Amino acid sequence: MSMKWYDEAGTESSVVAASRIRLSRNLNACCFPGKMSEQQTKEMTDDLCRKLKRISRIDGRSYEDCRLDQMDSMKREALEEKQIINGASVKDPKGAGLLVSGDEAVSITVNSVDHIRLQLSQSGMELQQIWAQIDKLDDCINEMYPYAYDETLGYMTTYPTNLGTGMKAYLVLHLALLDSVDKFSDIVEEISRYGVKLRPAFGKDKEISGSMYVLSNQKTLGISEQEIIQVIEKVGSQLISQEKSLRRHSVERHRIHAEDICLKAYGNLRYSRLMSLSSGMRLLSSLRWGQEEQVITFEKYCNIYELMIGIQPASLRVFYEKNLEGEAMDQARADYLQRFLPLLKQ
Amino acid sequence: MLCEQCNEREATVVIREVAGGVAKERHLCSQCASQSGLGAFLDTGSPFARLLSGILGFGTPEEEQEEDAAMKLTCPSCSTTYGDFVKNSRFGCSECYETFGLLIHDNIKKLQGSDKHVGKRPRYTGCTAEHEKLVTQEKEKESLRDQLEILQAKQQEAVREEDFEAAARYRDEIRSLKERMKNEHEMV
Repeated sequence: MSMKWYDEAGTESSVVAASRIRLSRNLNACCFPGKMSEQQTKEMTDDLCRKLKRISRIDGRSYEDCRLDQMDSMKREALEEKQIINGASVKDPKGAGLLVSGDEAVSITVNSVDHIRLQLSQSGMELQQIWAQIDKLDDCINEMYPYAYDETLGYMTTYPTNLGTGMKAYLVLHLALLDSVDKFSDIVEEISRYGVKLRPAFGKDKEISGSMYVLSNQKTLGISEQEIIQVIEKVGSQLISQEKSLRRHSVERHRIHAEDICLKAYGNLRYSRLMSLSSGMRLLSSLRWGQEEQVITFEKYCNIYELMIGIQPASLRVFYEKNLEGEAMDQARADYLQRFLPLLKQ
Repeated sequence: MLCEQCNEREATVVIREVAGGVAKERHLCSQCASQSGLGAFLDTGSPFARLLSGILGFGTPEEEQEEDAAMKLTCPSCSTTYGDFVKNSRFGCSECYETFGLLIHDNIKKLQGSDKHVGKRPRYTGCTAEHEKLVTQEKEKESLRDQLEILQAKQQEAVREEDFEAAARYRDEIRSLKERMKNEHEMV
C-alpha cells in the first residue's frame, strides 16, 4: 500500500492528530449544483474530473477520479469516516464526482454542495503549511475556471454560512484527559466566544468519539484566511497546553495508575472477542496518549488515529466486504484490532 | 379572550411554563408573545430559522401579506424563490445574493458578524481576454501532447511490425514535435 498522509509525523502530534483546510468555490456564470440540469451537471462533473487532475503539476501528487453516485453507499460512508468527503455528498451524491490524491491528502468533491470543494490534510499542527499549498492549488484551478466572486461578499457559495473566504480550518485534537475534567463543558462554551467551535470528531456523540475533537472556525466572512488560521492555532494551543499539563501531572505523580490504565486497555483490545464502538474508541484513546507520553511502548510505532478510523462501522464493512451488523460487527472489530495492534515492547 | 399583557389584542398564543413543578398558562397576542422571548424557541437548527419566526408568525396581516409576496420573489437566473431559500438555507446561483440582497443582508451580518469580505481575491472571475488566451494555450499544449502520444504509439507499432522505415519516419516526426513543444514552453 502506498504511503498516506497520516503515516507521517507532524508538529505537536502528541495531541494534534491532523490539520485540514477546506475551500468552497463555484464557477462563474453557472448555477450552483442543485440548480443545474442533470445533463449540465454530468457534463460539468466529467469536465472538472478530467481537468482538475492538472493540479498534479503543482503538487506532484497523482490523482484518481470517480463518480460518487455510482459508488456503493457503504464506500461513501467509509470515505466520510476518513473525512475525505462530507456528509452532504454521502446522503445526496447525485451528479457529484471525486478526485483523491494517492496519499489521500488532497481531495476535491465536485458538484456536491458547491462546484468545487477542495481540501488538504496533514498530520500534526500544520495549518500554515497547508494554507501555503492549498493556496497554490486554488490558484491553479482558478486559472482553468474563473470563480464566482463578489467584491463585498467574497467567494459566492451555495450556503451563506460559507461566504467570504469559503474557508474552514480544522484541527483534530486528542483531548484524552481534558475532556473528563469537570470544567470541560465550560471550556467548550468559552471557546465559542472566539468564533470557533469544538465538536466530537467521530459521530455527534462524545461517548463514541475516543476523546477526539475537531476545532474549526464558524465564521468565514469579514475574517481573512490568515486570521482564521491564527485564531484556530491560538485556541488550539491553549487546549494543547492544558491537555499536556494534565498528562504530565498524571505521568509524574500517578505513573503506576497511568500504566495500569494503558496496559488494561491494551489487554482488552488484544484479547476481546467482541468489541463495541464506544469501548474500542475509549480504549484506543488510552493507548494513544499512553504511547505519546511513553507510558507504554510498542514494538513499532502504532498510528492509533488510523485504527480509530479503521474500527468505524462503514470502514469495517468495506474492509471485510460484508454488510456487518450487531454482534457480527463487534466481532469483526475485535478481529480487526487484533490484526493491526502491534505487540508491546518487553 | 384578550391578551394578558397588553389587554388590547385578541390572545392567539398560549404559553405553558413549568417552574418548580407548577404549571402556569399565559395567554398572549402574537405581538406580545414575540417580544416575550418566545421567538427563541424557533431559533434553533438552521441559522436562518430566525427568518422563519419573523415570516411565519407574529406579524400584522399587512406585514404577512408583504412577506407572502417576499416568499414568492424569484431569482431571474435560476428561478430559486425566497421561499425555497427559507426552507433549506441554500441559494441556487450567485445572482440569488443580489436578488434577495435586501431581505437577507441583516441575517448575513448576524450570522457572520460581518458583511464585508477581507482576504484572498481570485485572479480570474470572468472570461477576460487574458483568461481566454490562457485556456487556448492550454488547449494547444494538450493537443500537442495528444499528437505526441499517437506518434509514439504508431512508432512502437511500426517497430513491432518490423517496418523500420516507417519507425524512422515517426522518430523524426516525434523529434520535431518535441522541439516545437520545448520552444513553446520557453516562450510561455
